[in-house]
Amino acid sequence: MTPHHPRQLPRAFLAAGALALLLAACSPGQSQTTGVPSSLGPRPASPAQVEIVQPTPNANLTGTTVHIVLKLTGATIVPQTTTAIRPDEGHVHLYVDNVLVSMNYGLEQDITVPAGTHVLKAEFVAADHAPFNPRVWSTETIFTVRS
Amino acid sequence: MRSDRRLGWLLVLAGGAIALVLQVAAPVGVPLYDGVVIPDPYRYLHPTGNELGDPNSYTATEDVTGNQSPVFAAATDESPPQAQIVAMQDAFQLNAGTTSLNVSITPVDPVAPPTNGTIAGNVYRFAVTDDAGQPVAPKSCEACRTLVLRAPDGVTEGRVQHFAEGAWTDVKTDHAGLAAMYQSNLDALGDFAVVTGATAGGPSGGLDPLIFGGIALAAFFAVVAGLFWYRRRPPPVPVVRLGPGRGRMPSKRRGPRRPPSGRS
Repeated sequence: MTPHHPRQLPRAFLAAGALALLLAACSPGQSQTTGVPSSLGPRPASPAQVEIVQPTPNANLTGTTVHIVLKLTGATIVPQTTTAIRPDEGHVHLYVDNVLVSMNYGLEQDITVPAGTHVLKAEFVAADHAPFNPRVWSTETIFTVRS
Repeated sequence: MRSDRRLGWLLVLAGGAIALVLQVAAPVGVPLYDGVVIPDPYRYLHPTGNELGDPNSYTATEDVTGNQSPVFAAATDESPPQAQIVAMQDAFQLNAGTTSLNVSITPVDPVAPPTNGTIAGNVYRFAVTDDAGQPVAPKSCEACRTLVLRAPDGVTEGRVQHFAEGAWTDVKTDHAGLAAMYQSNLDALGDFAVVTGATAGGPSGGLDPLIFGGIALAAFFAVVAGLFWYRRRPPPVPVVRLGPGRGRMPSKRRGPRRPPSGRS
């Protein structure tokens, strides 16, 4: 058995401590997300259309986890981020109350929101996470969450 | 040595268990982002120094069909908006003959400063009026009207207050997606602001328990790591002190015999 270096264990603890700090930094409700960059130069148009399937408009939901289902037509979602963008490939950004809450690579997702009435909208963006021109928005869906 | 190692692994396992419990108790459900976007700077009604001015207002007319107030979402134009209100259908008691509602959000000067804190950013006046300009009253409902206020950058421990009957009072506040975004479900309209400091256990006061737990855990591991380092550091190098009778290796040879003292 290889003897442990005397400094290995302290390093393990430091790593675990860093992990704990990281965990704290990733606390829900502290997500660091907002608007969209505005000066990105010429942007292509996209044939895509994105719709919010769930929640339905004016839905009254219970619990603070909301299951989001989107429908995307005219384009596909690609998992990788790249600057080699195509009009028919990209990602979906979700906004709750005009705040960007997720950049995801699928059409279904659960999000957590406080109890209240919220407005949800989705945007199909290029694979570099910047918007198309014109921007590809879903219609807004307003729903209420009760705890 | 072996017991130290066992203790170390036990602590590592304990740390992992605590992290797991924290994750289960308050799951980090949001996905990892591969980009961070910077919010627009806050716009002040009365900017000072390098602060930006000209905060946006919002006004819109919402048609009424039937006898219920319509669903609407109102927000100022900043990114993210500095003030928003979202209302579900039938959230307001319509006055007789109402055919449309005018929804407005306006940054205003505070009528009076709060006595238990400091206003962070602007005071916003939320109003919903009918065709004749008469205010409509909010109906009693659960979470059917929600206000979202954005505070200036760096305000992470704010709470929403409402100015009514000559005083600012706390209203139940939740964080709304960003550290500086605050949400509250409204029972009334009027003047609202994010207020910081001098809270007496307000709804959003105090450190986030998860952050507190993480910091405490990190401090704990730092202390344990320090103890390990202290215990495993090499032994001190013996100091050879020079001087008469010092620094000499003891000789194994017997010294010269003393002459007999004559005693027996």
